[in-house]
Amino acid sequence: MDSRFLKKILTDHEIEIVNSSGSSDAALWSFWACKEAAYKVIKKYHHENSFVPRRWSVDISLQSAKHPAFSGAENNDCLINNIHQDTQTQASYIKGRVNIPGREAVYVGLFSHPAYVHCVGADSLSTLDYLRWGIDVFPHKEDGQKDNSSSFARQCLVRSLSGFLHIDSKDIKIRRIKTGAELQPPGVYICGKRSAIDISLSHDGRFIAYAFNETS
Amino acid sequence: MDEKNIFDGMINILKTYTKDPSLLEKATMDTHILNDLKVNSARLVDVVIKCEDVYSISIDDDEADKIRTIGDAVRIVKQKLG
Repeated sequence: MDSRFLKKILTDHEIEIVNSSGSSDAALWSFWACKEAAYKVIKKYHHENSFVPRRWSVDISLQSAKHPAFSGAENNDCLINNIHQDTQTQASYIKGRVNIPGREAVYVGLFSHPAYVHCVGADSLSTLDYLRWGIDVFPHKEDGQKDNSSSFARQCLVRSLSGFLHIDSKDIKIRRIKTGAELQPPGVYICGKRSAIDISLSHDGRFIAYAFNETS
Repeated sequence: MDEKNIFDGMINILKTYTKDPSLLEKATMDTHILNDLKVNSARLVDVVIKCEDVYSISIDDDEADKIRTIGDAVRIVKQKLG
C-alpha cells in the first residue's frame, strides 16, 4: 500500500485502521468512498468546492460491518447479476458520518461487497433511509470502443426512476449544465421540465452506481 | 522550465490516468482534469504524487485542492520550480 497516497487522503487514525486491517484495500476504499460521498453532498448543498480529504474524518465501524441481511439496503438494487451470488451473503450495509472541519457532519451509508464498496451521503441521518440506489456492471467494452459508462449509469438511473415514478423512460432525461469550468451536479428533467428529484451518479472501472431521494 | 514544457510534461503524466487518452489531443490549459478528461478523483491524488516525483517538488493539501484544470497544475509546478 502506497504510504504517500494514504497520507494525502486519510487521517493518521484512519491510516492506522487501514494498516492493521485484515483487508486493507477494502478499508482504504471504504474511507475514500465515504469522503467522496460527503464531498458530493457539500458541493451540491453548499456549493463548496474545497476537498482536502486528509482533514475529513470518517466515523464508521468497519469492524462490525458484517451484516448478512444488510438491513437498511433491502429496497436497493445491490444484487448484481454479474457478481457470483455466493458473495452476496458477505455484503454489509452500515451507517456512519464524515466530520468536516467548520461544517455539520455529513451522514453516510456504506454498502460493502467483496467486489466493491458503494457509499451514499446525506445531510441528515434520517434522509439515508429515503435514498434509493443501484449498482450495475458496465457491459464488456470492445477494443477501441469509447468509454460510455457515464451514459450507461444514466440509463440505469432513468430505468429505476421510470419504475418508481411510473413515468415512461422516454420522458425522463438526465442533464448536467456547466457553470464556468465546473460541471454542476446532474438534474432530472421530466417532459422537458427540471424536477426537484435529488440524484447522484458515479462510475469507476466496470461499476456504475446511481442514487435518488424518493422524498425529493 | 517554461510553461510549455511543464504543460507537455503534464499531458504525459495524465496519459496514465485518463480513461480515454485521445481526450488529451485537444487538451489546453483550461481543460478540466476531472470533468473533461474523466480522471476520477482518487486518480487525481496519484497525478499529484506523480508531479511531485517528476519535478522533485512537494505539493501540499491546500495547493492540491486548488487543482481543477491542467493550467492550475502547470502554474503550481512552475511556481515551485521558481
